[in-house]
Amino acid sequence: MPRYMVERTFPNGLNVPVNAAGAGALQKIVCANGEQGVTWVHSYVTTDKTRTFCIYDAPSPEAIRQVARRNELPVESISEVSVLDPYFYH
Amino acid sequence: MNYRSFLLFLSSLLFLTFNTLAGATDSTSAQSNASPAPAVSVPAPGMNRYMVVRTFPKGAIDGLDAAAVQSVNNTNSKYSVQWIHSYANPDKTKTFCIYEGPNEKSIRDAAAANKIPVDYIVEIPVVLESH
Repeated sequence: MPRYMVERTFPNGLNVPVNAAGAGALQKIVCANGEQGVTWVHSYVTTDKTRTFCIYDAPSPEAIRQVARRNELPVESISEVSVLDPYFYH
Repeated sequence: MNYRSFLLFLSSLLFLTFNTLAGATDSTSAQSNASPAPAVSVPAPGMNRYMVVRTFPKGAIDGLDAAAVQSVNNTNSKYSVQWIHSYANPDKTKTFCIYEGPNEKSIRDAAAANKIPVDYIVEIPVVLESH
């Protein structure tokens, strides 16, 4: 399954409370993703929490856009990516 | 232990070693094929994590090999900068590189010394995991 880098912008900052409510919100997203065969791997978040770089495994960019709409998450750009690992070249 | 059982022991040892080596090779090729996702590292004290986005002319990094990567790593180390890994788009014209370094300037200086482009650099101290 292809892997994607999804850039998102949150003008008011992304706030995920570090408690049961925050975990519940993320769990809901993971479940909605699952219905479209989309897997969120992890996200890198900027200091001001206005931007995220999210790694996803998904069947297509459209599947990612579909679940983003359902999860009410903004999408700035989606790029298919492969990993360049500087310590495993041969 | 008689001679026969010693031989048996030796051959099973060789078999195990061979399988371990074969397993190691498998996991190496799996990493370069982008699956599973690279683990998220925690920066050492005094170091920060950055996302470095770069745009390359088509074909510029198609010939990236072990020697070229080693050269980049060597130059980076002069600036106390470490390339963790990168995500590249299919035609390798855009890369999202995870770097660790003492500050943004050190990463910019290392990029200039390596003659590689930088679109922008942003600190990414937080990682959200899906589990």
